[in-house]
Amino acid sequence: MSHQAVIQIKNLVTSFGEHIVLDHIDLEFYRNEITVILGGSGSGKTTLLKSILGLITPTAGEIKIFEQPFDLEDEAATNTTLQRIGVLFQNGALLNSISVLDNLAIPLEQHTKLSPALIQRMATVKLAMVGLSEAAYQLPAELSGGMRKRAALARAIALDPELLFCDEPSAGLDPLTSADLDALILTLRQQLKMSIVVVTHELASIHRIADRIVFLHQGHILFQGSATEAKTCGLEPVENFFRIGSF
Amino acid sequence: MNKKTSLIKRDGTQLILTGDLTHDQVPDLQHQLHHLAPRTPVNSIDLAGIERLDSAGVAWLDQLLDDAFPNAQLINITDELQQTLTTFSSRESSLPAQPREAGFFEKIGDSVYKLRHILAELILLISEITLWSVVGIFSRAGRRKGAILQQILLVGSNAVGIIALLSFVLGLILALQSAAQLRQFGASIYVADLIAVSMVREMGPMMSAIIIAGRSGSAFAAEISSMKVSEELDALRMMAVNPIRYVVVPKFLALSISMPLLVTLSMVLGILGGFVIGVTYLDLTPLSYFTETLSILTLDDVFVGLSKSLFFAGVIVVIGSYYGFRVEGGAEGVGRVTTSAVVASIFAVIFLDAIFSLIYMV
Repeated sequence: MSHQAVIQIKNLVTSFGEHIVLDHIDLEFYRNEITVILGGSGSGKTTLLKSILGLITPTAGEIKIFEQPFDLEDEAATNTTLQRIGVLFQNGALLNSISVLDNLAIPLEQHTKLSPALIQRMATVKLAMVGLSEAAYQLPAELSGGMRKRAALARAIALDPELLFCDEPSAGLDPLTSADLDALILTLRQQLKMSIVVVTHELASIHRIADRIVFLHQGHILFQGSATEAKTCGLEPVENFFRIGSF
Repeated sequence: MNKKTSLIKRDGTQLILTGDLTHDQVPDLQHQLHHLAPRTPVNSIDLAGIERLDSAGVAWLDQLLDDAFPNAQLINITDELQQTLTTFSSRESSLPAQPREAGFFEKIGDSVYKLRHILAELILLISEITLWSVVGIFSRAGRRKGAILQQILLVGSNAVGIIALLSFVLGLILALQSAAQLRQFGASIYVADLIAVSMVREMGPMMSAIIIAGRSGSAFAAEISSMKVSEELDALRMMAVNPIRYVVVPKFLALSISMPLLVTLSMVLGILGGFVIGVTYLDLTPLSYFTETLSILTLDDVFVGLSKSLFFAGVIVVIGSYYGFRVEGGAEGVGRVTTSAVVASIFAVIFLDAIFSLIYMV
């Protein structure tokens, strides 16, 4: 596994008013690696993810994606970077008024000059990859929670992104569906050589997919390493998380 | 990004691809192929020169093999390319048949069935609102404390300004239009009659209802539909709280109280608008204008106007709530039912007004 950084974060501070959520974070995410960001509720996991994606403006610090500063004010550069990124939102965030197939076609129509026939072929393949071919013409509201997550994942990988962000992919799913989704994430990493950043606090999921864990606690990075190392790292919040969360 | 780096060449019955076969290159390669006599048979497509391949490239190769060159084979495929080809191949994937569109008669039948369903739901909703409104008079259980007063402020007090202004302007316009005609016959004084009767019996109630339908009917639909989308209504049911009693009845009672007051305001301001034109443009004295107004108006006229306002209030609440409860989907559904609620409320108000006019004429 090469250790070429796809995301570099230096001295990141994100605060809401007086409340500092992320306090001087230095972190790197590497190519073809699945990094899991975890921590208790309110530890700053989702804020870190949204800060990286520019959905929250950091108070201070620098974020580079693919070695380029991710500056939302430079729209052209941001769009080029965003085309290399896929995001699976916590609730799927599919557009409810159009079919699943049309949801998948959005990034392809917006960012490529491919013909409609080719776009349909690509969308069909991505739907088949997540096992949702039968739901192509259904509206998102007609799908179950697990199916919506899979459809959202298919949309997130529509443009073969090099970097995939998943915000709580297992949240609200039963263990079997959750395991299926994890298997899909592993397949994507292996077959598409993706770098994947997952925010979760599902222990089973962490054990299945994580190459590296970044443990956030009160806005700081408390631990970085493998899941095995985390269990015996000697840091109480981390060990407690793994011990109590196991049952 | 779209720099031309990929090429397609033809060597007899072989196509040779070089460069990247990615989503930014495929449209250009399609264009190049178009100029290479695509109808001549091709037996093989050489991928030895391909540096990068993504799902768009695979989809294009599949399209070539399926449609343009069914007898061709891909050759010189590296292991890495083969893996990508296998991952993204669309030749084995297919979509289910698109749902069949309903025929003309099916659509008519469906509409009739839906109409029956809508009527049944509306009757049920009206019954529930009536029941819980009556029960609410005797019991405070299941009702939000202060909800009626809050709704009166929202739908009533906050609408005073707009209704007063528009009614005054309407009175001005009606008076100006009629004055020009009546003055020719020396009947200027009858402007006061015309304004009084039209504002009290028709324009006051209808104008107010249309403004309230646009202002509050849409708010009712948006609020209730958002509550349904975010499962707040389900949460109320699970707490053994009737959503109609908790959410709709305060709105109904508030509008039933506010609407006659707003209509009264509209009548007065409309007459005042006419008075301004009568005094300034027609040279009528203030006393003669008011004397004429009071002489033409009867208690019946006021009763007609105010009774209409109560029905309009009910219609606006029922339609706003009905559309709110039947929302489907997310944010887009909320927008759709809100629009539908306003259109249906305004239509219902005008239609009901026409029926009232017929009834009172007979």
